[in-house]
Amino acid sequence: SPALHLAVAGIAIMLLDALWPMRSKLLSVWITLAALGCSLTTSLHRLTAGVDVTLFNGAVRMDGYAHAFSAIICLASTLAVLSAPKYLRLRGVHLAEYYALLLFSVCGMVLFAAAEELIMLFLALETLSIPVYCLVGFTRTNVYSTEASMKYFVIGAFATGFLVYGIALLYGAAGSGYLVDLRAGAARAPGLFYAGMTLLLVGFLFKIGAVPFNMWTPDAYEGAPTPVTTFMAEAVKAAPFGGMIKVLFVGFGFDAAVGLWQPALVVIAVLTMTVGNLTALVQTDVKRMMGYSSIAHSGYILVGILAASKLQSADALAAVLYYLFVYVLMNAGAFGILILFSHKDKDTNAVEDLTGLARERPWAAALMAVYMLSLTGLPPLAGFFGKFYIFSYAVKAGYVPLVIIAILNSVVSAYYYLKVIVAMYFRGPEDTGRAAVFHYEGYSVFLLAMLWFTAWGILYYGIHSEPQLALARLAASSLFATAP
Amino acid sequence: MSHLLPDILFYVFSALSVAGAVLVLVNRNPMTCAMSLVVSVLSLAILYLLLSAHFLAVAQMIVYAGAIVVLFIFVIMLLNLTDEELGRFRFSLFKTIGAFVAVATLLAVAPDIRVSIPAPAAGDAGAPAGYGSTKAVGKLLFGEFLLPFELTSILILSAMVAGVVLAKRELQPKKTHSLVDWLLGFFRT
Amino acid sequence: MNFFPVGQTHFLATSAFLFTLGVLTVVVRRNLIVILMGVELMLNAGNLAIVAFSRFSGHPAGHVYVLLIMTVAAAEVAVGLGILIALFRTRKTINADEATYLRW
Repeated sequence: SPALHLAVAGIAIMLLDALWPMRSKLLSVWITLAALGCSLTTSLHRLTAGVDVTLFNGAVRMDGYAHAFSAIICLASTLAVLSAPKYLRLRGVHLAEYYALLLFSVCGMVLFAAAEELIMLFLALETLSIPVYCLVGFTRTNVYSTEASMKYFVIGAFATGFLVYGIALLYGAAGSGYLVDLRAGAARAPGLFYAGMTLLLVGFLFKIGAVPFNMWTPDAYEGAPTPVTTFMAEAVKAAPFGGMIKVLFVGFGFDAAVGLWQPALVVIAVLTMTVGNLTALVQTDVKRMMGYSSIAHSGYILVGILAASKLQSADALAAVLYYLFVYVLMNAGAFGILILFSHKDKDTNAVEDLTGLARERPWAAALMAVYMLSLTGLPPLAGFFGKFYIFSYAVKAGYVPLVIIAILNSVVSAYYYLKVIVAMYFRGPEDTGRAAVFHYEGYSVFLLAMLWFTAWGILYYGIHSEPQLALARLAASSLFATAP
Repeated sequence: MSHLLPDILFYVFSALSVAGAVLVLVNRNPMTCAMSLVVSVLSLAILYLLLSAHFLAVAQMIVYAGAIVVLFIFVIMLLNLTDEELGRFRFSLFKTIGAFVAVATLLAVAPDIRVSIPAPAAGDAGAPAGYGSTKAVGKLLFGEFLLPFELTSILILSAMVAGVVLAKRELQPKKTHSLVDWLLGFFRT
Repeated sequence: MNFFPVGQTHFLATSAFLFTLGVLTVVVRRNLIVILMGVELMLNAGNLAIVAFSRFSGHPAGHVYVLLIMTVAAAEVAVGLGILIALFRTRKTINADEATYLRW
């Protein structure tokens, strides 16, 4: 299964680096890409072939849903790996361990979306987050980086504590760890069940960075080295959604008695969107702004989940999967540009740094504009279609006020995305008084490949969203097959 | 009178573990915190014995009291921390939310425990033979829960790598002494 | 002291107390090592609750859960202390308050 490839590749890299340390580390990069590539293809192939196998007597279920998520996650991490080499070499921390840790984390994510049991879910979540704690603090000399990883760690550990206690209560109420018969717990011991459910939700919301629990996101995003931020913003945010959707749909089910979590999610979705967008407005630092915008995007995804849970329809969930896919593309591109111009000691984070980019590097500015416009959701680009699908289903599900708030938020988000574009195109160095110097130490072929792929993806999948949706619908239907 | 013994033991040790936890909270010197954590963890191990989870009790003693707290003490020594002045109790938003959450969870859980637990096992129905024994847990661990067990191997490996990468003084080995070069050395002469 | 037989509720009450104390330790204390201890307390409370449930509902799998959670806890402490040392090396203190470079 895909997870197996990743784990073996991770170990292989470690061994190889120990036995044959070479300066360029290119070999380990190629191995990582090979591993991610083949797990991507296997999961896509299995998704289309509709393979649905339950392994290890029920602990894990690699069905269409799990394959779809593992495909998205592998894509996201491939993009993150592509953006890493140049940046790390500049910082002198270009170690094979970076890729090994990244692969272990991806392996955790793939299993996380496939987990059918509470303890399996918990373990996969930990395998996912522990390498990321280390990756955030990878550039140890950089003061921000270690501090960001400390904050991320403390909040993550706190969330783990809640998760464990939530699992304990749910296990008690339901008497067995499997997701499918958690719902029986509601009848047996309602009090415990609801307490356990809330605790579990608190743990999940910490991980996806929903508002009341997102103190860590901006700091961790800004402090971490940019390729790690790319990885975090996409894969580490997409995976918990996979697990959360499975737990909510399969574990807690839809019937009214258990439909307690829907109103709670509505409130959290609204909060996440508004706070995410408003705080992003005041940002001057592009990386931190992207952190806040990713919070806002998880708000939109929450809306999608709500719509899918209310309608209980496969294609509503397909809209969520599609949105995740598009979100991954957009984010990877935007961070890629930041990496392109990051200098040895000073990352080009502030918006002012990008002023006058259009004159110096027209191509890069054009790419950045594509990403930013797609993030706001302008019609021709994929971002628009993602939001359009989710909002249409949300309206169908009757969450009209929620959709209005969401659209308002998109408009607000347009402001701070366009602020970047304005800085690039319409303002030259004369405004900021600083010569628009762009440290352009040559591009790494990986980075350029990633940038062009994401840009092409956004343009292409915007119009032809049909094939993607079909795949997503196939995946979503398999999840609903499990949720009785 | 004999059946009273387990109850007495229970009250004594659960009080001990809660006291240990409170001490961790209020102590200034991190070393005493670590010690009270040991007290709390060990009394938990004894509570496991009361719950006839023999294997877990021993595992708890070895893993928690033996390894984790020793790690704490090692780091406290390494960084030779001074007393932390608890005096100024700064009132920050984050703390109030946290305290509120903590109290809320306690309140949410407590009544439910009283009310909703159906009495599946009245009193202390004798645990089935070999309930908590190592054999039972071992059979389960390698039977039904094989994948989680394998996943822990990956988890621990990544934790080790993380620990080394973060804590090691200098990362790039100056002299690259690699096996492959050594092997190739034979042919170069 | 009414010595009614010690049922499941007693163990759960203790574990609830431990959990709350753990949460408070994490929130109130400033010294990062003590915060890590608070997390350990929370995990221990979870373990106790799982063992209590598994004993009284006769479901043996609970022990495996606790065993796995212990390994996770150990891994987490190892990484946490690793980060702590890295943090200490760049900045001479490990008080949570001083680590405030990244303000919004």
